[in-house]
Amino acid sequence: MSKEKSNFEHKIMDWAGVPKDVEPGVPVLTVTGRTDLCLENYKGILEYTDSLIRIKIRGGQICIAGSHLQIRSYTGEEMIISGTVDMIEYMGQKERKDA
Amino acid sequence: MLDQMIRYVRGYVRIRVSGRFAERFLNSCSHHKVRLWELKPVPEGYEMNLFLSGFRKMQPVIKKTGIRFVIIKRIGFPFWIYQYRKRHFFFPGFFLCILAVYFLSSHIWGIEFSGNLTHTDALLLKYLESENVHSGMKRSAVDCAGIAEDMRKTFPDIVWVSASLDGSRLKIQIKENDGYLESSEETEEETKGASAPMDLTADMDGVITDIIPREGVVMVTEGTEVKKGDILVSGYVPVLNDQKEIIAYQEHKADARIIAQVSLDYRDQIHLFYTHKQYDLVKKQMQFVQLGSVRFLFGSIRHSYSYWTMEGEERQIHIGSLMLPVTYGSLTIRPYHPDARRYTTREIRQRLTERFVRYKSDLEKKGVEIIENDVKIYTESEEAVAAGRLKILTPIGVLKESEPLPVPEEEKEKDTWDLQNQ
Repeated sequence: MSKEKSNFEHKIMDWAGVPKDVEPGVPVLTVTGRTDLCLENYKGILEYTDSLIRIKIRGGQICIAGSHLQIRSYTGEEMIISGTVDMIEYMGQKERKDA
Repeated sequence: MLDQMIRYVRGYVRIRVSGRFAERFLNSCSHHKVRLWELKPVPEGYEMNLFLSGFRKMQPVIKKTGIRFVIIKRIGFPFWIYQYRKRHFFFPGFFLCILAVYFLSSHIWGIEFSGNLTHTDALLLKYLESENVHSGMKRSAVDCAGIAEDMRKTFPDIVWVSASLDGSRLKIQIKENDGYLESSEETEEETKGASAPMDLTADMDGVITDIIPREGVVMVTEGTEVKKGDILVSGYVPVLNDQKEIIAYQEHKADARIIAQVSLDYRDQIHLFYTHKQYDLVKKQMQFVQLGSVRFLFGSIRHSYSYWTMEGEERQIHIGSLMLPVTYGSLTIRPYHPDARRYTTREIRQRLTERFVRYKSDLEKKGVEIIENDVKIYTESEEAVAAGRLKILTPIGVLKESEPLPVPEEEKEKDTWDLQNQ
């Protein structure tokens, strides 16, 4: 039901021509060079070391790998990460068939 | 920078959290809208900064999640205040200091004059005091434009005044009238009637040597001998008809640069005898510190000397341009034995020559050229005199209102005839 509602909302937004980045709850990732990264609309931190940061977002995870990674600022709205970024990976949530 | 200042004022702590659910603590902070920064992973946990208010807010969460935390550093103004809470005089002293700086910087503690040559500082200070402008008055009560205007009115020979506030000092810059080229008579005449015809008249006897006319009709030529009061340039410019007859006059303000050779008497004298002061080696000195109008004396200058001189020195304390109402200085009394002496011939010549040279340089500053001088030194029984005559080339001429000229006869007759015809 929830998924159906989400799809309906998505279709309405698409039809109305609303830019994707203002859609509520959609994660926005801004990368500046290889050293700075800003992530908005995330759910929480799953794992944090200086070489890997795993962040929970709507519908999956973002995995940032690199070296000397550090979260410079962490608020409810956005997270600013600095360090040398080697890889950014999106990992979708596995759909449970029984759900 | 601003962000750092805000953090310092609000106060923040750097904590280390560890335990199995350290990430849960981070997410709880996000959920409770507690801002974290400089978040860094360390073995078995994380280190981060958070505001004091945020830390208080997260206390129940820390207990709930069962994590361990250690405060590594306390930074900011609230902690600084707490650290010095037992120094009872510190905070009253701090506020008193702020009040003192505010009080001292909102008042005038010094008046400084510059450019005054004939009016002494003491005279100008006395005048300002009579106008209720004095050291110790409020800065906001100082009306710089008013002071400048009043000074110009009171001292007519001061041609320009500027009053300005520099920190807690009132700076008054003055320009006095040099007195030669811009004589008060001339400026008065100038203001009297800009449209009235003016003649340029000789202000001293002499022989004209050079003329550069600018406006008006030149009445003299090079070589003309003029007396004081003679018209050099007339303000009435005749209008001629085709027959070269004068039919009317145009009114102008005469203007020209006229150089004349003028004879000038010079006389200067000095007394042959003077009192030489033979100072003793002893002296009495007294130090003083003055706060406002109260003076604290250290030492004594009481004495019973018959002949003595007193020297004083006074300095005002200031921090940059902030003048403080505190002065300090010293007074020194030195006794001497008077000894009546006579100048030697060489000394007389030297002193009179020095004074004459100064007189000459003053004249040259005013644009005067000395072409001949026969000043000689004569020694009499009581005094020595330097006297003689100087021949100088000097600009002459002062403006004077023109005397009305009679209307040309022919014009008058013509007018009469016209009237008769009508």
